[in-house]
Amino acid sequence: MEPTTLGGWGLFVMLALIAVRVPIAFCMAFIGFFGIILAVGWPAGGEFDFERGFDAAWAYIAFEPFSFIANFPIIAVPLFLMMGYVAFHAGFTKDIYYTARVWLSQLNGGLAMASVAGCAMFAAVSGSSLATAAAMGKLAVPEMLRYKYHPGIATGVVAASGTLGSLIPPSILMVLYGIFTEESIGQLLMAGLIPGIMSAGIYMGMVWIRATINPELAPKAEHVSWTDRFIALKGVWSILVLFLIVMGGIYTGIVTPTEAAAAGCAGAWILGFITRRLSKEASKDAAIETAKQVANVFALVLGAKIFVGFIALTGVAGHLTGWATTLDVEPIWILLSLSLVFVVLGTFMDPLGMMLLTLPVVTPVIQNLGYDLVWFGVIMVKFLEIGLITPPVGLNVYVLKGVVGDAVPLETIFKGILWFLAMDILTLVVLILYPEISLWLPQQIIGN
Amino acid sequence: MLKFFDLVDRGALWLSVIALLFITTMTCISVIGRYFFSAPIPDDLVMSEFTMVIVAFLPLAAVQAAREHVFVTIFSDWLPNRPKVAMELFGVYLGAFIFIIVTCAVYTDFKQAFDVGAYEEGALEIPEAPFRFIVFVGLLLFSIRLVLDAIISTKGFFTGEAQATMSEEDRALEIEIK
Repeated sequence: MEPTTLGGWGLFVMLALIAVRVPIAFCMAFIGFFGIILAVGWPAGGEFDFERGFDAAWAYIAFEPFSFIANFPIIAVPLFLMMGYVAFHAGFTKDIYYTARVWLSQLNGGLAMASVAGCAMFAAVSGSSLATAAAMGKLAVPEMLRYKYHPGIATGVVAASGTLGSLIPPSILMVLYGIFTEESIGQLLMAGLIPGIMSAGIYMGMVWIRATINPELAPKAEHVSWTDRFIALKGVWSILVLFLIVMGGIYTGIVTPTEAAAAGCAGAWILGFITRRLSKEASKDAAIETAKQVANVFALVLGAKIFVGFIALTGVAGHLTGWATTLDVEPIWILLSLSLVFVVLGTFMDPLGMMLLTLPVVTPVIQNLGYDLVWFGVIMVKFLEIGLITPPVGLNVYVLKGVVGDAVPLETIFKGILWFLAMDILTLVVLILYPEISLWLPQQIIGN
Repeated sequence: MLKFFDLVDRGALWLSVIALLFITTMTCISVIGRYFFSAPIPDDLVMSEFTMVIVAFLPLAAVQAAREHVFVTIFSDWLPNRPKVAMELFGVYLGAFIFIIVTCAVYTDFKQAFDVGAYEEGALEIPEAPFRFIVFVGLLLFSIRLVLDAIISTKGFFTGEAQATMSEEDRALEIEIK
């Protein structure tokens, strides 16, 4: 069988299985295993030799689970997850929202801007856009509605800002992207920082401009004295300390990303205990939720690793690369066409599953077009974020609808999100036109 | 029997938490040792890498027990409960089938490492076989849980008692900020 035809069929059957509620990890492992049997056992123009194919697939799945997981860089994933869960259960993330709220409430659209900051930090530590939309939706949306914010802005800002955590370090997506593409994880984490802050800044700017032009959209909240504002700063020091430990350690080159993750994780536990914010119950919840989330992620990673083996054997990526390089168009158009796949998949698929599914096919093409894979990591994650809020599906929007119930119609949330979607596209255009925005900081890593 | 496996899965989950805390502590001590005393813990990287298999593989069964694996529901949410349960049942059968194969394959890998006495080169010459065995144990527990799920779900499907699993979006709604 022609390997590329087999690869095409593999992808098609995979999507069909995903559509009928089969867990993505199972789909990838299943297609990967039987794909390897066919790819090795049925060479183009030859007879099908099951034994030959089965032996190859068996050897692959016997060896890979241990060799891929017993790997130092990958340890950053559970450590960053634990740091996030501990910070969440210690209430550090809620503090960010309240501090931002106190400082920004006097501005037009201040509560919405505080929600951007709160969501960005919550998403950064929780690693889940959906969880952010749900949790911050319960906290921030009722408050904004109470202050007579337009329901479209109140819901749109939370649904959109939940996606910011995928870029702002420590991003699990970035770590796994680095592992699968064999790029520097430290550089990837650094690369996401400026684009992440820029995305949040653009959201805030847009809210402020709209609220200034039409104050009825997002009225000012109550006056807060300067004394109260400075008192509120107390709430952010713990997150800042964690951020400095992790990013400072990586930036200065004192520690590797995995060691920085361990230091951040230890720091979160220590800060939680010395501030007496971590009760026995909260510690237990943080530990158990971490372990479950780790298993969830690694089931996907294991499935993806088997699937990657199959895709590599079929040569689909090489075929696509060859085809793309012969096209008489600028590489940027090929990049944009490929990226559209992410937006479409993002409307119904979890970002991590989507990334692991598409990486083996997409990254060789991007690399051959001459693009920097660290830069593409940022662009890809930005596309994944856009997919999460793109109508007519957009998972974050549906989560938020679940939170607000009948208080805000779905159409209003979608209308509210359109402004943020436009800002995301603007950010993306800027990031594509000026790769230095993403690449400047990674190039500054000391000792790199 | 189900209670027994619940207990085993929960124990495995806690072991993975302990393993992760061990990695955290050891890495921090090693970094401090290296930076301040030029004396990192010998073979700290290898120990962390090997302990990582406990973190990654042992909780797989507990996640399956809670039905928390990532899957796409958006194309089937409009269907009544029964067809959704049938689809999920198919997913569990498929998962059990493939992961039983993976478990058997991983066992051969452990056996080979055990027979040849494979170890990681380094100061401590840490043997690989015990850790490859942990991969096997984690996947075995996962496969057992999938088979149990397949049996229970099949029974539930025919009696009409089985309920479709909550989607990731629905699960997210249960999260509260403390």
